Amino acid sequence: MTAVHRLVIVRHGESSWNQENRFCGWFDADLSEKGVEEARRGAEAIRNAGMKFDIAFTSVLKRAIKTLWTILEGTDQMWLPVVRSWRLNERHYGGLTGLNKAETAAKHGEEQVKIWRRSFDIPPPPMDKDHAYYKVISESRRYKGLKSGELPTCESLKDTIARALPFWNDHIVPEIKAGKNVIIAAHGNSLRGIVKHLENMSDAAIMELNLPTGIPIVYELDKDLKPVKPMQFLGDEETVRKAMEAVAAQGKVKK
Amino acid sequence: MSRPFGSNRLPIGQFSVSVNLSTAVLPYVPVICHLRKQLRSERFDSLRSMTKHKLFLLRHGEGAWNKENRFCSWVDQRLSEAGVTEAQECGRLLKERGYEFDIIFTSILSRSVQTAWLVMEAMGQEWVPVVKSWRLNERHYGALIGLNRAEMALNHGEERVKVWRRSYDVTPPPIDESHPYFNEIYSDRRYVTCDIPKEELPRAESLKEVLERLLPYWNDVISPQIKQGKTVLISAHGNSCRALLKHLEGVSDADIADVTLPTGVPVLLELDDNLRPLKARQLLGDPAKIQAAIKKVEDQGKATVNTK
Repeated sequence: MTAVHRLVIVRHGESSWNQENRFCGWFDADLSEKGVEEARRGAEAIRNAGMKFDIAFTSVLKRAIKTLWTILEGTDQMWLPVVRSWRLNERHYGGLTGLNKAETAAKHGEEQVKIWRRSFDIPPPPMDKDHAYYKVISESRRYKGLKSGELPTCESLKDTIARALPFWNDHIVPEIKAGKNVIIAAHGNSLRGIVKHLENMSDAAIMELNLPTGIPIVYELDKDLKPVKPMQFLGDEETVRKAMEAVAAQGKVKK
Repeated sequence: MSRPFGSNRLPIGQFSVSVNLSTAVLPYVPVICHLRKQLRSERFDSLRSMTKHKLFLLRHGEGAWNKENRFCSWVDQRLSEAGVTEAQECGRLLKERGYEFDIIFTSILSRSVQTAWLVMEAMGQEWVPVVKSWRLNERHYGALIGLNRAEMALNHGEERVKVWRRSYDVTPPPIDESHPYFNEIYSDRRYVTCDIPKEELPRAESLKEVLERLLPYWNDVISPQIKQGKTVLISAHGNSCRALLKHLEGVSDADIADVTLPTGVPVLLELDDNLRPLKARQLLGDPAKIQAAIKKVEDQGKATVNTK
């Protein structure tokens, strides 16, 4: 297997709601100051590696878009074409959107929360019309082009992956195969969908994987888009080492 | 179309009402005629508002070289701090007025992209699709790129410089390999991604030549979006905006020299279905601020070097 293509993916950094430990999902939270700093360090890592891109993909949520903007600005590539899609959005947390961990446990019970967290295909309760964030999310102009049935009210990880992969196949893969250097700035769960697909991971295995935030992740792919080696992290030695250790330790933590 | 005097049709909505005029009704003819005129113009107004398209043009704000009064043109400068503030204020204004963009076009020069991003951020519309093209780039000033306006006047004479800057079809001398900024521009990767080969990109442009390379993009890419009902923002440069205005408003070759767009002030054009302006262009914002912005640009043009 020879490396023929290169793909870079970046998971956005801390959002204002991450800070408050609230389920964010499709709520359009902004990056916190820490998240902005994470994006800057990501840009620096790409700049130091001298990496150039031809096209960028991102979601329609500002925390991912602004992460991408920071990278493009920091690497002097603001002129690149950028394609935005709801299909790269974070997983939709339905009725849990806006709740913090304590509220969620209080509302639904610890056992139910455990089931949701450990399940690949059980969705949280749907976000209904009287949810505090229903209007600002479901009625946002950005989703007006969606076909009937496409707009979710909640998603399991399986659902998220199922709507992300068509975009990967129809829009991103053709660019990679055409020899373009692609960067994707998105969210933990939509990127899990791409990683699961690239590395042919099982449902159980992908649930154990938490991609580090703000750190550019590089895949070298063969002509069939199979990774020729494990994902590489870009950054200074310490950042990379810490990230690799954190990822390695994930599978071993008992939840 | 001639109609017999006895019957007049009042266009009321989709229906027409026949009015028979007899001598008894004659005193009321002036009122009826006025009513007809009013109804007809109201109907046209409502028809026009049904086909009204909104196009916003925005000339980016101050870049580092604007302060030094140097022709920036295709050199890829970022906005200065003042230019960033201009863009943010523009975004705040547009947000206050409740405008919603469906698609945004920019050039491939960073300062126009940066301006668009700042506006989008202020409006919470970061998700709106952005499309970039060299055809919206600033006018290519050829060999004059990087030169200070005052120095240029000293080297070439005020009159010559005036002709290059303000005539419609006089092209400045072309940039060549000996120019200090030649490599910076032409070895940049972005110019290999254009819709024409790099070798065919301009080496200098008159305003006329700017319009010649802009018009196909306006016709093939931007216009269809507007005709589909999308609200469009074009975030570009002084001369690419002027060239487009000349085309849309039918400004003469002579008169375009006197059209100055202030920086950071959104220009709203309301267009009919044929993309002809329905009324005069509107500069949005506080009138005093707009006046100050216009004066700032005009003063830059008059800058003279201190010979003492």
